[in-house]
Amino acid sequence: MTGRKFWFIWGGLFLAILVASALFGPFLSADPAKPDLYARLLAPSFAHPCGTDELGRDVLARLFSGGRISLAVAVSVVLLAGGLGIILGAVSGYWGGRLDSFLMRTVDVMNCVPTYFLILSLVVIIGPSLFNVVLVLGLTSWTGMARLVRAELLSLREREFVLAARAAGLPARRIIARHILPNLGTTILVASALLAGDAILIESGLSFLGLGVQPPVASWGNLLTSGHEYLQLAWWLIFFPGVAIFLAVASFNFLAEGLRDILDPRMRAGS
Amino acid sequence: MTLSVRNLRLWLRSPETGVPVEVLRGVSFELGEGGSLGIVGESGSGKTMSGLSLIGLLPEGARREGEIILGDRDIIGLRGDDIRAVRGKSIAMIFQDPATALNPLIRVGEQIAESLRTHEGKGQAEAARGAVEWLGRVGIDDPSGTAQKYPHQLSGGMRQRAIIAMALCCGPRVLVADEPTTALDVSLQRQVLDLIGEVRRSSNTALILVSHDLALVSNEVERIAIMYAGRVVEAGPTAEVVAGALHPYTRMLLKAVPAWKRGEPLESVPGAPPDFAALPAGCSFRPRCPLASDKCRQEPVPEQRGPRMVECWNV
Amino acid sequence: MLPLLLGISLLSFAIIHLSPGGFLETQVQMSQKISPASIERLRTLYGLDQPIHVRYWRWLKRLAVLDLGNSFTDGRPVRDAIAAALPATLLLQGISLIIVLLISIPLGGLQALRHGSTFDRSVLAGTLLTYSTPTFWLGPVLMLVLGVNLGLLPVSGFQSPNYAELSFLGRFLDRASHLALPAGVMVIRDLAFFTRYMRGSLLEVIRQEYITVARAKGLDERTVLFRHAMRNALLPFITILGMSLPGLLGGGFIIETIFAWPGMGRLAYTAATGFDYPVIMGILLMSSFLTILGNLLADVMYAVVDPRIRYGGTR
Repeated sequence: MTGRKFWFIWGGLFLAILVASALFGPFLSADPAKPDLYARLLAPSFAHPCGTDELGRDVLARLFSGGRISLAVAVSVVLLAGGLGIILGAVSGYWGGRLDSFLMRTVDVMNCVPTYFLILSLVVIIGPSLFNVVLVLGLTSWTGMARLVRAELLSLREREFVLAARAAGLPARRIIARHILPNLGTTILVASALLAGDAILIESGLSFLGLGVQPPVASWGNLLTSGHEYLQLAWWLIFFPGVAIFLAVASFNFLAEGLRDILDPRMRAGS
Repeated sequence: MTLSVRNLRLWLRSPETGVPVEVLRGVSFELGEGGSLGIVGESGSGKTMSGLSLIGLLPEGARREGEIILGDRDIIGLRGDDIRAVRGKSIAMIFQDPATALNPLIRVGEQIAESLRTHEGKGQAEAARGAVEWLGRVGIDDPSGTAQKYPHQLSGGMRQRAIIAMALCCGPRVLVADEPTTALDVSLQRQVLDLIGEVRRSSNTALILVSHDLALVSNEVERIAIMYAGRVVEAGPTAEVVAGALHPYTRMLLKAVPAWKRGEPLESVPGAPPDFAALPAGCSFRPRCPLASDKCRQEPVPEQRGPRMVECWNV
Repeated sequence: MLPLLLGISLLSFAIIHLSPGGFLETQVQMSQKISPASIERLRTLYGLDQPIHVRYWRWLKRLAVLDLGNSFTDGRPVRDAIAAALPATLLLQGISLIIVLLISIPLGGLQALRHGSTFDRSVLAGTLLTYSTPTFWLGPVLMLVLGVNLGLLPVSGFQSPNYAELSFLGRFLDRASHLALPAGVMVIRDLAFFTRYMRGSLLEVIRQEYITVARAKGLDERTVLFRHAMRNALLPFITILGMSLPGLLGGGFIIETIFAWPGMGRLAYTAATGFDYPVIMGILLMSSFLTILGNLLADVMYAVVDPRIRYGGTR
């Protein structure tokens, strides 16, 4: 059925385009950092497919380097928050007890705080920069993954093959790594894809408001800042970066949806 | 005859491929007024689908052929409001799990009264009274108190009684009970079966008891029909079939009933249930049948022997 | 609830002291906006000259009486600034939430009923797309098109300059037109989540046995849907609303800033860029507190509405 593969195809396609352009784009286009004051605010043309910005820099080139930033953010946040979430969730679910209660209380507390405000206060205190944004996002976004992993662990812990492994005297670390986590594969992938999409959105949002990646480094978010300023004069300044963010986030979400589709029928087949 | 099913065929659509699969391949049985029939088979034999087919409670894309004659009219073609008028009022159905058959957010009495309002046109107050009365009839101690309760507040046995009340309150001519005791404790099983027997006899309701448990069914019904792979392979008066089974499958089922004697080995029916998408040519039981011969490559013809029926070349 | 409150106070306390290198020293380095007088005020507010447990205790005491300090930028008590900004945020959030629910409940419900159809898939795709759209892009674009080019709606602010002189109806329309764009963007963003949730909830409910039983009773589809299915499907929404509170409160931050809507989000933005720590911390604490309150409310409502909680069961 065409339907089944639909999400994958589109999500994967755009993601591939994104990665390709981020990796190879900068080599193919103009220098993103080079201002040319004679070429300020030019509309899209053959020479400048996405126009130029207020300093005469080629927007397409800046989009490409912004793409690198966004990808870097996505990957780092997924690794950091995802990794943290998996470890904490696994530990919590497997061992239970006081550790579990404590961790879950922490998750509850963190869930009560509006994410943006939390991120905002952290960023203000340690200062805005790409690294800080990634750090803060990583430290605040792990709760979702942790909850998921913990829930799965709780249910898998009681399954026969785990009991058999324990009866055979395998160490906990091995049981978790070799027997339990592989079952979580799809769940973790889905959560990671969603995390990546959200991370890009949040980072762009922060950069847009000047609290994230600082110019002259180009992030799609801070490209939109100047877009906002010159809203009426230069529609392309807001249009293209926005489309870029949109496509990137959408492709991650579509990918996640496609992965969910794999998960679902397998679950339902068992009923 | 109260209910007469002739050559009922059912096609269901496979969810993955969308291709129709024939799961009932010509089922026929009859039910007299106040009579009782047991439909026995493994899971996947089509026994549950037979029950659901009677009232047309089938998934999207299902298709039926044949005749379902209730009283003097064929109800197989009924749709919409017409078939809804039959459900609950003429043919009632109860299912396996009392824990999930009642809406957890609505009081028990109200769920019974709902039927009374729909089918008997009773007003609110009258229907509520009727519900309480029926709860009493199924042996619940405090009917008015229980009517005000929510399903989770009742025990499993009480819930099943309430469900029986809900099914019978509009005086249906046929009650289809699909594995009504499978989810219950052994101690409750007897109570529920006795209750069903008692209540339906007082209102002369016919009973179709669907189950995989041959021993259980054989104690409750006058006639029995054994189903395999979407067809009835043997049918007849219960006592006769149990005492002298003709079809090899029936014999295997009987042997599989534990004799509860020490030293007797436990038998089972060898092989696996058939895959409807890939049935063998000829007799569908052939792969598992100890008596299989070349003749069995041809689809067996139902043979009538007095009150009994059997479909097998090796009889 | 108490542990949560304590946890939040601990968390914010920790955040304040998070800055690598001395807390205040780093700020002085980073921005000249902080005058020595502000530094002294901060020192007193956070009691940085005291040992840590004393500091924390003082912090807690202040929180208990909602003394959140004074703003750096204008010296007003933080409490007042937040109190002034809160109604605007609540108005925006409230209206958006109502609109979102009015759209997503029927939409998600319809998706569930037409599970797997093209309609289902299209809505799913559509909501995924709207979820992926950055608000800080959609907002300005809509501002440009609807506000500037077409002149249909005001692009910023809470009310027009001549608000006080308008008639009652005029004031209502003025408010509404100022709400339109920011609320619209908010609705588009939140649509995905609630629609998806409704779809999942109703799908799950339809699969329950009591729905099959309701149909078997002969009830018509409308009754089955609205009386039995919807009630059960909507129940989890109460919890979900509670859970989405933090997202709603904080997520409006960007939208409020873009549209110059004088709510908590915009206050947070101005405070952030102005390094106004008391205000930011105050917002953090207040919004968390409101979330906890909201969750409590949701729990209470849930207990009221779900009979399984209101009356314990025998199970």
